[in-house]
Amino acid sequence: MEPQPSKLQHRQVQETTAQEQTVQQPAGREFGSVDEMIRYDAQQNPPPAHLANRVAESVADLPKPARSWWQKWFAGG
Amino acid sequence: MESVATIAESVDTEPARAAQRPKWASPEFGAVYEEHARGIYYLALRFLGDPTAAEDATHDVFLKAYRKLGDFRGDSAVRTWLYRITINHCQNLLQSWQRRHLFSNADDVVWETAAAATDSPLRVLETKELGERIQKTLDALPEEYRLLLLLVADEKMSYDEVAELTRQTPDAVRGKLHRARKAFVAHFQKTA
Repeated sequence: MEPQPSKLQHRQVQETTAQEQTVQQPAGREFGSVDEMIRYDAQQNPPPAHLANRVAESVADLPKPARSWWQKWFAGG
Repeated sequence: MESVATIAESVDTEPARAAQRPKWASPEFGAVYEEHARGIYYLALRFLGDPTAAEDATHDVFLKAYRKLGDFRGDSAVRTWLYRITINHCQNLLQSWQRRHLFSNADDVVWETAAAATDSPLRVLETKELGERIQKTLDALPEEYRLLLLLVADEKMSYDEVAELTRQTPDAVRGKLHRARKAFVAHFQKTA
């Protein structure tokens, strides 16, 4: 008589089945911490490429900023 | 013939790309955008939960920053200053949308004492699923926890800067972050 599978073995079988069902998906990814997971998510979500143009066009319609700020900032402020 | 078409395409591509590059009236401000747009956009995306709203918010934040350049005295880092504008902008938006989530202390206790351990691996199958689950989890957290998790995940931000930005001490940030991470893990596992 075969021994009953333990709960762990049963869960492993379930997980294997789930992985087989999602074979078309990229391999699973594990994160060691919440911060790591959020950092990865941030890398996957860059701003849309056209946004830079949109901002540049809108900025072009505005009066130029005070020059003193730029001098201060580029001087290392 | 196919190869000719491919060459013609590649020749056309470079000028087209060049034409798409933003023409900044101020190259210095363009550099500020290039350096900080990613962080600002991601904060807005996960704060507002909507890519279109995040794009609009990022646009508006940079315009506000440009207008307020004269007010920036260099007391804080440019990144911190931009994050402050972003947080204020997003909070105003959320208030106007009446989308602010309110949770009782009892809910916090449930999350914080849930069986999930903070050191257990967080496993997901694909990027899209990850994004959706992170968004659901963040949406369910109190706003302060959400903000702290997003700010600390930016490796360019120190605890001191996060503390300055959220107007509390670095020790308070550490304590709240510990609870925020536990709450995140507990809720994230529920989204599976």
